[in-house]
Order: sequence, then C-alpha cells, then structure tokens
Amino acid sequence: MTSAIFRSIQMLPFCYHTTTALFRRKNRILFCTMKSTQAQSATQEKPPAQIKVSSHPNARAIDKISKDYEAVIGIETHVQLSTLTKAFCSCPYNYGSPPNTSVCPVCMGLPGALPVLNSKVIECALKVGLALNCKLSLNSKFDRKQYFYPDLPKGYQISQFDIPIATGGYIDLDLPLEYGGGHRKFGITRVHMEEDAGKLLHSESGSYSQVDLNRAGVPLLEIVSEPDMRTGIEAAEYAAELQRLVRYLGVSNGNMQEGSLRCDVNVSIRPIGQLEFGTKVEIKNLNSFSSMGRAIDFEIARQALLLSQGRGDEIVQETRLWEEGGQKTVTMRKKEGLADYRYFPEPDLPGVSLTQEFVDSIHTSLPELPEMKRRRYEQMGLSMQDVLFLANDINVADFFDATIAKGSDVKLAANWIMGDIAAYMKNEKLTINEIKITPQELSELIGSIKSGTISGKIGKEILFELLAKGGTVKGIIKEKDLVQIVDPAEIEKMVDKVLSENPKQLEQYRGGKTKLQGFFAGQLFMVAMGDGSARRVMVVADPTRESAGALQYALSHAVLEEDELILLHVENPCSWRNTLSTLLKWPNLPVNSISASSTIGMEGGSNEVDFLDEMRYACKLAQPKIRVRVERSPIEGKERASTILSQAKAMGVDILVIGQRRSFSSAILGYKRSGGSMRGIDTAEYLIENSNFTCVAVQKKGQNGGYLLNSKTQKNFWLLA
Amino acid sequence: MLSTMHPPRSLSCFPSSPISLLRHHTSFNFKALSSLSTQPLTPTDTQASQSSQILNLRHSLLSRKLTATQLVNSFLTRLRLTEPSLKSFLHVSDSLLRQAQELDDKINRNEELGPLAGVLVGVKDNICTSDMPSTGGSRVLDGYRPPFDATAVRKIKEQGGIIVGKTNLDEFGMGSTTEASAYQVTANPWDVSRVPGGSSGGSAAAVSARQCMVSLGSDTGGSVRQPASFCGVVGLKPTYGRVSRFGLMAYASSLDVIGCFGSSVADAGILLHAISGHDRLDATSSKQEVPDFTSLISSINFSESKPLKGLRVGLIRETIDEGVDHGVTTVIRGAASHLEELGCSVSEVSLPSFSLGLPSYYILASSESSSNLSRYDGVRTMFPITAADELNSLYGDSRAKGFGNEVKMRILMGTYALSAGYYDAYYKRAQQVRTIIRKSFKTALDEHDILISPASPSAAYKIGEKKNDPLAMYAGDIMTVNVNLAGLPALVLPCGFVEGGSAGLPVGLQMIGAAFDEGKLLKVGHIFEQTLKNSRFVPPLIADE
Repeated sequence: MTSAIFRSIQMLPFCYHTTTALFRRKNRILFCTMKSTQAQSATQEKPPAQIKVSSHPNARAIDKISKDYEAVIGIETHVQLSTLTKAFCSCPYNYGSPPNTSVCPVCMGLPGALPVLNSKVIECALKVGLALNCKLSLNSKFDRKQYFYPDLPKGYQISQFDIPIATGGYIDLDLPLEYGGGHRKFGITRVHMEEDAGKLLHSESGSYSQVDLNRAGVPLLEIVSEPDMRTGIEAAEYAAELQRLVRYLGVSNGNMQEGSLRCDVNVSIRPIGQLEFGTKVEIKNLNSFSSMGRAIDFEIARQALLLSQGRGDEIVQETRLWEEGGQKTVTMRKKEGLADYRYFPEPDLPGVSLTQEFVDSIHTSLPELPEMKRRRYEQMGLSMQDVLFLANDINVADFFDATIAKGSDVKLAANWIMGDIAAYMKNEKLTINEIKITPQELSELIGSIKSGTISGKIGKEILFELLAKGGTVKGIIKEKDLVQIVDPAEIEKMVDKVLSENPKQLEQYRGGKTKLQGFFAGQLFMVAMGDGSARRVMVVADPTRESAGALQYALSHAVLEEDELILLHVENPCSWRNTLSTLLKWPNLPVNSISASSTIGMEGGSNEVDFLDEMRYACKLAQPKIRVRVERSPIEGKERASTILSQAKAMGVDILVIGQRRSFSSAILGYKRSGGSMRGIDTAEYLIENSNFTCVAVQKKGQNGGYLLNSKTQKNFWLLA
Repeated sequence: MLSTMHPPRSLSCFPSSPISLLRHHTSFNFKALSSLSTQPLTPTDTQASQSSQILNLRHSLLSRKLTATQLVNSFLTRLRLTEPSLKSFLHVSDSLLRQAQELDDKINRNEELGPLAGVLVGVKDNICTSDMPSTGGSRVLDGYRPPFDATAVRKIKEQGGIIVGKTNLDEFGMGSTTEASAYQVTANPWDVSRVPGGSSGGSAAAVSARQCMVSLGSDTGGSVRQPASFCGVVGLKPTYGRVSRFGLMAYASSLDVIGCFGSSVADAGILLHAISGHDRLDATSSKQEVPDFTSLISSINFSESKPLKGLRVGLIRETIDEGVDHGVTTVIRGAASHLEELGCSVSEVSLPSFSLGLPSYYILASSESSSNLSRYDGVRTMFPITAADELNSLYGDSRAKGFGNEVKMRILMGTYALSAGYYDAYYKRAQQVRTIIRKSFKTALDEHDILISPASPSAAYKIGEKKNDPLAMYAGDIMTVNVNLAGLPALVLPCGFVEGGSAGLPVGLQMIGAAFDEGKLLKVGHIFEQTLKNSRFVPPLIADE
C-alpha cells in the first residue's frame, strides 16, 4: 500500500510537495516496517496490541474489567554477544552452521577440558552495564548454575550469581507517538555474563532428539529489569530499546529471529491502588516485539478476567508459552517449589578484577547512545517522529549524522532520508549501508538544490541515479547537462532577447492580449535551451495526433526565423503497428483532431507520404521563412527511439521535438529509467534521457489546453496556449 | 650424622645389599650426578644415595653405553614380572619399542635430544592422553580415548619423554587406597598384601617397583604424597597453579594439582620442571616464572659440613600428636634430627586450625566433585550409552551403572552441601575455614623456611582394612589436606621405615614450602636424601627378582 501511495504521488506533479509531506506523516510507521533496514521498533511490526484482546470473544467485557487492574511487568532478556569466539573457548560461532561443527573439548564439556574467559565478554558486559547506567562490580566472579539437561554438556552453566558485573541501572526510552508518546525510565536490576546452552533437535516422529552443541558456550548477557512496565507496549518498547542499545554498542546483532535477543516476561496484575504484587506468570517463546506486546496484553486480560470472576486462585506461578497461531498463552510447566540450582563459585575461573582505569577507558570509548542521540536530534529541532525514525537504526543515524556533518540542512537531510531514500531501500530491499549514495553526495545534492543550481525535481532524479549507481552530484549534473539557470542577470538577458526579437507579439501583449504570455514563455524556454543562434530543429513526424501536436508546438514556440526544421519519419514496414494500422485503419484516428487544429490538414489515407507532405505544407504556412526538410529513415535494429536518436545526432540537430502520449508507465516509472532496455519506457523518455542535445516531449492538452512539456531540465512544464 | 636417627632396629640396615637388577642398571651410572655439577659432588656416602635415574639415563644414552631399546626392554621385562602382583597399570603403551628405536636413530644421527629423552613416564589414568585410553579409573569412561593430550603430557612428549602407560587410581582420584578403582586393586611393592595408598597408587607403585622412572599423579587432598609415603618414593605436590590442569579430569578444581613421582628428589624436580608453567588453556595456571630446578639441584655444594645452615624448619606439632602411629612419629623425629645435623634449626610450630582442615576439605572437595562429575550424564556418544526410554532414566541409569560407591557417596555429600538452605552452613563455612588455614600457614611460613610433618599418620595398611570404614580412611588424609586447602607446594620423601611386611614399610617426610618455592623444597629434599645413610628405598618385590 505504501508503495502504491508513493507511486501515485509522482503522477500528480503539481501537488507534489504537499502530498509528499502528507504522505510522510501518514506513512512513517509503515515505512519503519521494512525488514530490510533490519531495525524494528517494537510497535512498528504489526498493528497495536489491543487487537489480540479484541479477538477474544469477551473482548469488550475484558477491556472494561482490565481498567480496574494494573499490570506489573518485568523482563529478563538474554543478549547473545557477537564476539568472534565463544565465551570460554576459541570456537567461532556462526548462526546456522551444520550441527556440531563449531565445537571443541571445552564447549563439549569433555573430561579435563577447562574454560578460559574470553576478555571481550567482559568488555561487552561493561559497555552494556555503563550504557544502562549501572553500578559496576570491579571485583566480580563466575558461578556454576547446576541442572541436568541434554543441551548442557557440563551439567552446569557458567553464570554469575551473587555478584553480577553490573547492578542498579536504568534505561530511557521514548514511546512512539501512535501509542501516546511520552518518555519512560525503566529500572535495570542487574546485568550478568553467562554462557549459552546447545540446542535440541527433535525428530519428527518425536521418538528421539539430537543435540547440537554449536551454540553451547556462546556468551550471553542476561539483563533483568525492575518490574516497572505496565503495558504490553511499554514492555515491547523496553525490549526494542535494548535491541537498539546493543546494536549501537556493537555488542550483539540483537536479532530476535535468530535468538540473539530473547525475552522472558513476568506478568502479574493487581487492583489499581494495591501495593502488593499479584502472583506472577512467566511467558516464554516471544519471537518478536509485537508478539511480546500481544502476549502480555492477552495475559493481562486473562488474569484480569479470572480475578474479576473471583477465580484469582487459578492464577498460579507458572511458565506459559505464547502460541502465535492461537494468539494466546498456554501452560508450559507449573512451578513445584523453587528449582535449586546449587550455585557455587566457578573454581576453574579466577575472579574478575577490573581497574577503574580500564572501566574508564571503556566508558570513554562508548558511542553516542540512542537516548543521547534522540535528545540531540530533538535539540536540532527535529520532530519527535523524525527523531524516533532516525535514531531507530544506528546505521541510518550514522548516515544522517554524516550527512549533516557535511554541512547539510538538518530538516532537509532528515526529509530526504526518511522519504525517497527510505522508500528506495524498501523497494529494493536494501539497507542503508548497501545503497550507493554517500552522505557526502546527499549533502552535496541538498546543497545544490538549496543554492538553486538544480531544481528539486532534478534533484530527485539525481538522487535515484546516486542511489542506484553511485557517482557524484557534480558528475551527474555535468554528464547530463542538468544545470538550472539561476543567475537573474542571465535570465534578464534572455528575456530581453525574446522581447526584442518579437516586437509584434510584445505590442499585442501590451495591447491586452495576455494569452501571449505563453508564447513568450515558450520562446524563453527555447532560448534558454539553445544558444540563440540559428538552430536545427527536428520534429518526429508520424501520422499521429501526438506528432501533429508536436509540430504545432514547434512551429508556434520552438522555431525561430533563421532555423532549419527537419521532419523525420522513421519507417517500419514490418512493425506490428503498421500491420495493425492497416487492419484497423489506424491513420484514420488522428485525422479529426489534427484537422481540427486547422493548421494541418490530413487526408484520411493510409499513404504515409501524404501526411509528410501535409506537414511540410503546414510548416510553410506557419513559418514561411524557415527552411523545411523531410527525412525518411528505415528503422535500425528493433528500436525506433535509437533510430531517431542516431539520425538526430547524424544531422547535428540542436532541438528535437517529439509528441508524447500521456502514458501511465512514464508517470510511474519516471525515475526508474535506466539506459539499457527501453522495454516499458516510451520513446520520448528514452530520447530525453539519452540525447546530448535538447529534446522536448510534447503532449497537447486538448483544444486550448496548451502543451505539457518534458525535457531534461523541466518536468511536466505546462505551457499555456 | 645418622646417629640421631632411630629407624626401627630390625630394619636399620635394609636394604643395604645391592639389588642385582638395579645394580645392572646403576652400576655404570655412579658418576652421572657428579659429572653434571659444576663442582664434583661429595655426598658423604655415594652408595647410599638415591641417584637420579633421569640424569644417569641421559649420560648413558649420550655416551652410548646404553641404547633406548635396551632400556625399554629392561623396564618391560621388569614390568611383565611385577605387574601380575602389583596391577599398577590400567594400560601399557604398545609403541614403547618403536619409540625407543626412533630415539636410538636420533642418537645415531647425533640429533639434539630433549631434556626428557628416553625417560619412561607413567601417567595417572585421570590425565588425558590422546594415544591411550583415559578412564579416570571409572566405568563411566570405559574405553574413552580423549581427542587431546593433557598439557603436562604434551610437554613430556615434546621433551622426549616416553609414556609407558596409564596407571591405576581410585575412581576419579576419590580415595586413599586405589581400592576404589573400577578396574583393579593395586598392591604395594613393599608388601603386596598392603595398599599402595591413593589415589595415585598406581603411579607410586610403578615408580617404586621401577616399572617406570618417573610418573605423573594428581593431588587433591594428598593423592600424590600419601602413596609416595606408602611406597617409599619421592612425591612432589606443586603449588596450585604451577602445573596446568588442562587435561586432568577434574575432581575438585580448586584443589587439584598434577604432581610428580620419582625414585629421587632430583627426578621429581626434573619432571616438575618439564611440566610447569603457564598454560593459556588453564585460567588458574600461574604466570610465575619457573626456576630451573635441575640446575638448582645439581649446583648444590656438598663440601660444606652443614649445607642447610640457617634454614628454619618448623615441625608441625599437631602432626606428631595423638592419632599418629608411634613408629611414624619416631621416624619423623629422626628426620628432624637429621635436618638439624645438616645445619637447620628445627622447632615445633603449632597450627591451631590444622584439625579443621579435614572436614573443610571433605565438604569443599565433595561439593566441587558433585558439580564436576555432572558431565558424565550418558548423553554424549563418546561415553558408554545406556538405553533409556526417557531422559531421567538415561541420567539415572548411566550414573548408577557408571559410578562406583565412593564416587556416589561424594556426589551425594557434595550435592547436599550445596543445596539451598545448607550452603551457608557447609560450603560457605568450609570456605571460611579454608581462608583461616591459608592464613595460619602464611604466618607459620613467615617464621619458618619450611614446615615438616609426616605424610600420613601411618605406613601402608592392609588391602581391605579400611574399605568399610570410610571415616578412618578419610582421617588418614589429615596430614595432607591442609596443604591443598592452602595451595602450597609440598615434597614427600622417604626418610625411614616402620615395621611391617617382609622388609619393613617406608615412611615419608612431608616438607611444606611457601607458594611457588618448590626450589627450596627440592634443594632441602635433595640434600636430605643424599645424606641419608644406610637407607635405600627399593622394595623387596624387585629385590627378590
């Protein structure tokens, strides 16, 4: 839908800017949904959480009941650290490797093998601890958490128990405006380091399971929040902020689908006003932020319903599984007493002793964090929506920062990135690191538009060129001769020239014939395009309404007295068009309209030579002083357009005028033109794109509607008749 | 000098008569020791001394008096003769002669030899070897071949040592008699009806019976020192962290160390030097510099009448108290007198926390072992698989069938001690005691250069004698566990005999040093050993050959 809206905008050239703005506002959230940018915001994936509740048969009743209760939500998050090697051995870890190919005696728990701490794990933990505003333990240690499970080869997990590396911090976040917005601060209880377990692969028959130890020993950070969240949205945004944080810090890819970021949520509810917590239920199997939000809201509703019905005792301490299919939580296991993990200090690893200097060095090496970035963007004057969009993905933020570092206007840079660049990334399924444009060039582009060197429309064209192929703004402007004349003195000179060359029309205009404004504009247009000396103007001649319109325009606006006019007809005896035209009497079609112009009379015949003679005659009538030449060329190869181009080049044409059908595809795909194939691109567009001389495509707009002109420097210029 | 020593009267001369086989082996080696020192050694009685087999061998090989093949053959012959009654090996390498031949070829090509070239080393079976099974003495690892060598083994191989085989032990090192092996009971070469001690009983018996020259053991609570004492060999427990534990099957990780057995202090020191040093595969291994123990020993000047003049020796009072065999006390007091003769000032020192060591040790060691042995869960296919219908029976059956009773008992004790609600009362308390013990040793060692004590309250006892009395057996570790808790180095060397068996039973003297001060222990031990008259600690088993 987004792209449909986006495309439709280009079809409405006159209200382009306003629509764009509207569109941006409307579609911010939709834009963010794209998976290709890799960053997700909790709320950006799917519709809001309430949807799930309302899918419940008693939705309305529950909504009402829920208002009497308050949920208390705490989250345990496991973040897989993207260190080169595992936590306690030198095995690399790559998600998706064939089973048991990244293993060694240490992570397989073979007798005699010993763990040796990867110091990068400490660095990552310190970074996260500092970023979460925690108090760090300079003297920390590892402990063994003991339980039996086949994916745990040693029979214990190396973890941290009573002295975690970091405690007592908080995280700041801004809720998206769709959910009411607002700033939140959630407490962080602790951050500790531990190792991951392997994975069980269950056979389809269910008769056996296999163990894959690739993941065993991969470093994790467990981040435990205070029970500070009250809604599914808050919880999901908390997790999304953690994801942003670890990505900003570069300590994890934070990918939920791969299990690099896993959240277990504890939910309890209590009547509003009550201080004591209710019985908490743990929810597992939350594979996305949106399922997290929905699972929590479901659970809140479930518990609220039970409480309101006096069945509060049915809320028991248990682990529930979120079922994505059924959009509900189901009991996984009830807790029968507390599990005794028999923690004790890991004797194979010495205590972790850190110097304040080391911690300080990590502190100073921290990058700008999401919260700092958002506050900075806010101070730059960006709207909260812009702020949230730009700061969501570290790579986008970096791109933006680099662009404005080159001197770009902040708001303009934000608009370009969030608008056309984001749309392009979405369409092409690319990340911002994969597109070809550099911040330097985007800045250059914005600067060029701002200074007026090029128009906004041309700028857009250059942008797509840069996105797809790279290169520099200056290079593309030079290559395509796209400079807009902005020097007022120069324009004045041209105006003077036009006025002095057309004293008759000037007189008439002064006499009140204001319609002549269009004439002057057209003359000026041509002067600007050419150099003012005698020129060779070519009109592509066909027995069509478009061609007739083009000639009409050329005679009235493009050709000056000293000029030479060439009528070029490309013959294609075997084309489908000719075959069809014979069958359908195609040439009959334009006759009425052309004859209506009264300038060119055309007999309804199938003889093409006839219409060329008619056209030549029309020229002599309109501009007796110009020289008129008729050229016929057989089609070269398969492409009519390239034939025209090569002929025009061969004849040293200065201006080429061609009739253009009002084409749907040209409007939609305008920016997607690429030099190669012309499939789906009309001839006029091809010529505009590929000619090194001035090429004007003409659409005659009805009887007195004037002309819609397109050229390399002007898009959809409406020349009033 | 020996006038102050009082070995049991009937045994005072034993074994003074040269042993045929040993003489064959040592006759050409008398000068070896002296040839290596910068000054000619003048031990008071060369014949009585325990000479270094390693240095002698090196001399013989280099001077072409002996080939490695001859050497291996003579040891294999002895091994075949003695093994049926001793059962010290669980596995003997089948490539010994090939390795010997390779060494001979090397010598013939005049290639440079490693410091341990041709040295025949026995390795306790809880130390991983890639070319031999490593069972830890447990059924749970029956037939298991690790994919890697323990760091200590790798270093021995790199320096030219030849691994003779894998020696018997109490399952996973849990025991003091080697009776808790899942495979066989090893006998004491001095009296085959007696235990060799444990848990490194196989390694001690093998060195004692000259089935190999030196051997590796592991010492968690005395498992090197007590069998060394029982078998009349030198046992060296290094400082915790001196030798990498990588490849040692963990029993109690904070206490385990790999230790060395030799028939002389020099050999134990040379072996220790070979295996010491930091290892990046063991985070608890120390980066402390490793002194050259070999040259340290060979540079000792025996021309002085009192070579240990000024050395402050503390005899730990609590170790010669009640509960210690009178014979043992007598021998130890004799050894103290000998040290005084050598110039030491010997005084009694009290370590009030000494008796706390035993309960503290058994709580900590059991706790850690209950965790360390969790990995033997029957899940991974390199271990014997027990068919089971569901997960809990897989665990239950594998462990019920795989572990012996002693191991099960310690797992149960350790699991209990770590359980919620008991942790503070047991594990945490034991850790506090450990800290106290460490401090009291520190204090004592500030005032003394070394501390001495018996290595065991008794000499070797009969097989089966304490099998059904685990507490009595545990009590036998009283002399040694404190040292593990404090992480200190200790050297045990035979210093006399008590009555028992056909020829008397050896008694070991334990010398405890400051952390990473093995050099001092080896120096004192070497001088003590070289000056000890009329005592050759060669068991009657091979004297009878």
